[in-house]
Amino acid sequence: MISENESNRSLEKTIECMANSDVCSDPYHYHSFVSVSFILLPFYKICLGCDERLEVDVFGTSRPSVRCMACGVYAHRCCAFSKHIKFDKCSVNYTNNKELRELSTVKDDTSDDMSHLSLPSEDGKDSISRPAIEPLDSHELPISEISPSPSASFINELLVASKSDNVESDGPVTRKVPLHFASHGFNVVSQALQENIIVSFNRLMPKENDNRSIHSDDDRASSSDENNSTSIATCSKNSGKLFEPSEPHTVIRKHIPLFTVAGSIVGGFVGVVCAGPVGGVIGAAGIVAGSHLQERIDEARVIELGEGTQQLVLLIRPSIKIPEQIWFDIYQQAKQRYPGNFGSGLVQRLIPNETNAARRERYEREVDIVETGEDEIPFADKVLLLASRILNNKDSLPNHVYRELIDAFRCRALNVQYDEDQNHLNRQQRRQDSHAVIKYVTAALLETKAGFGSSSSIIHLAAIVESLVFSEIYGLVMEEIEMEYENQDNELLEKVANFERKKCQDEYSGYKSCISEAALNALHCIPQAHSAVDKLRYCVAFLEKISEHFSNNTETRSAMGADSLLKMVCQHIVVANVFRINSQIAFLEEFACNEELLRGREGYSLVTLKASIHFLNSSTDFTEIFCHDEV
Amino acid sequence: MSSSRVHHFKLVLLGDTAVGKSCLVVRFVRDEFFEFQEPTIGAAFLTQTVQLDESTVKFEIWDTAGQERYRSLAPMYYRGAAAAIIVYDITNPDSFTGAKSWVKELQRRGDPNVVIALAGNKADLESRRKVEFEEAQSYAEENGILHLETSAKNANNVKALFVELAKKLPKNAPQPEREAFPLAAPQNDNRNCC
Repeated sequence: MISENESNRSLEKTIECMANSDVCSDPYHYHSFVSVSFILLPFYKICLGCDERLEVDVFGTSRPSVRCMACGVYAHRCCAFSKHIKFDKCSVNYTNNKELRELSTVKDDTSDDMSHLSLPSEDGKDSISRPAIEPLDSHELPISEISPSPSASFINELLVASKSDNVESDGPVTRKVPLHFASHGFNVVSQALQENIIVSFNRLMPKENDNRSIHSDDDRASSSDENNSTSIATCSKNSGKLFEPSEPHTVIRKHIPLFTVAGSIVGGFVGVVCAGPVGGVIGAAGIVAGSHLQERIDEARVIELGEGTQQLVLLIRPSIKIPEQIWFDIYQQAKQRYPGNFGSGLVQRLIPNETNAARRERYEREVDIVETGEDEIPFADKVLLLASRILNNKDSLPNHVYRELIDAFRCRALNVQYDEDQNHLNRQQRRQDSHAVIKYVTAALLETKAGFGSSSSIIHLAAIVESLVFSEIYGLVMEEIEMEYENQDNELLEKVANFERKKCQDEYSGYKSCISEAALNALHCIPQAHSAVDKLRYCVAFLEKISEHFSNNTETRSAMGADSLLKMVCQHIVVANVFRINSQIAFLEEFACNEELLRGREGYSLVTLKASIHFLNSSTDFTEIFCHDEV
Repeated sequence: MSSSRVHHFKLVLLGDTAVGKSCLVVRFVRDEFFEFQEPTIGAAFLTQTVQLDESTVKFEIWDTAGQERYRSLAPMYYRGAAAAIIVYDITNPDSFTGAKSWVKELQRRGDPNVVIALAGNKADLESRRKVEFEEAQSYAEENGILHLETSAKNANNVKALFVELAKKLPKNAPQPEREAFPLAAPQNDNRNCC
């Protein structure tokens, strides 16, 4: 159990991080709130908590407002953090955390841990008590799902795993340490929050047009975002449940054409009044221009105004074959449709969508990240923060390319499904396509910020992009892999089942003495991670836990060599009975491409796991694995 | 001392079971003081740095299972290895025979540039010696590989083995790393003049 002081310290760190990133995660409804300037506050918005209209707080006399970065809902700040007011959970974060919900099961009521904690109130002068956590019903998520961050979940898993390893466990892990209460470093919290926002934001992006973030660099006018809506809407129809629309934004989207025409008419009328016939002509021109603009929006306009950097820097993986030309074309088209290209036009020059102050602020924040000491923010986290800032910026090229490529991937994946029925299947297509998506999203990031191209940065950058991409398409990719390895997986499961039946009858019933529960937990976590990097972490944790368990059990406390390790890995795999473990290893073989990692202990863990499964696949009798002759 | 560049090399340990592979590498890694103890996986995966005159070599040492039943899994481990130490027990002639077969396999199926060292372990058990030094030395010379007799028990020749291996490794080989390459400009340049 984490002590009270430790919990408070962790919470302070979390709040400090929130202050720095302007984001405050709501642990009860899973919103990621940012404050909203009154300048940007739409007058027609109502508070999610009290259903009252949000006030424009010019002189500090009204209640300040906040907006969820993920789903875009607005609320009074006092309502958002009030223990008395209940409102809907964040639809986007909730969706993102579906997989994690299966992983996390909270049995204990955590109200004891949280009731003593407090957060700053809306005016920042005093503090208000956090509401006690109510017991979770079947529709609610556990607290540990505040952040879907793989790293956060990983840390939580290890915390629990290490606890359960010391104590004789009689079943699966039943309690998780919530992120906000875990003992962790600042950078981990920062990373977790950033990942939370990235994932949420990218899910939301195709539907978001009407909302403006408090961040200055997100304040750019998004009229040209309509450009994306046609293609995205087409794809979203096909993508089914993987791409769930966000309701709060559809109303304004529908009314944009109406507002455009109405604005034009009003402009013309004012022109007639103010300047007589000349103004009338100008006003009429406004009408025509407005209509023309709307027409072009509906046509998904393609305006080529400057190609940007001509020399692209791309990530090359010699061993991977991808349908290069197809994806190069998709990438080029995505770039051509990028609304920023329109930004150098006349309209954009007259009405700049980013003020100098905002641009300066954005620049200064990036400088802050880069110049922060290595001890405070490790290099990998700096890359993560910078990349996430770019991808968070809805007006940026990488964000636009990312959305378009993900949609293109889904469309192609569904076509593959159709072809499969017709026996014209390219069995590798989804994997090849996912490589292409990763490659070209990385390329877009490199085009925006060439500094990412250095050898040291690009490793981290690629890992970040992979995590983001697989947060969207992991299910489709795994579906293809599982189809390919279905027979092997089924055979292995059958062998394990036969062994289970046999061991009940003979002396192998005592085999559990050499099994580490923590290692089993780590092994079970591999399928739940959605990126190669995270899966590799669990592989390492798996082997480490076995090694620790063995070292603690032996009298000599000698370190475990490979002779014993390989055998014990086989034993754990048999006992864990992991569903479709062959598919998991195939995924890692396909996507674990970081040479640095693969040369190190991650690589060793992967090879050991792969070797063990290869051995089990070819073995006919598992009883020899549990013989005590060689341990 | 000059701050030389660190070269990373994957080193794989091969040999029959119970010849002392793990003990050898644990003696090499754990017997010395080093400032940063990197995380390891028992004695199965370890890292250690060797300081040479003009460069620094960091070994990432992969131990392998020596049992015969796991023999077929060895290629997974030695794939991509820059160096290999094949260990035999000087008190066990069968292990020397096994070591020869490991050398053959590595020369046939391993990386063509892999640097191989043959280590006759348990040299402290001189009274029980069954494999003569000359025999192993002549075999090593025939095959162009390093040969030393070591003792993990008293640390004799252990460090020397790794230092000699580090010296033989090519220092100018490109380090495998995910690099960024400039790509030629897009073929279809659609820029309009107006």
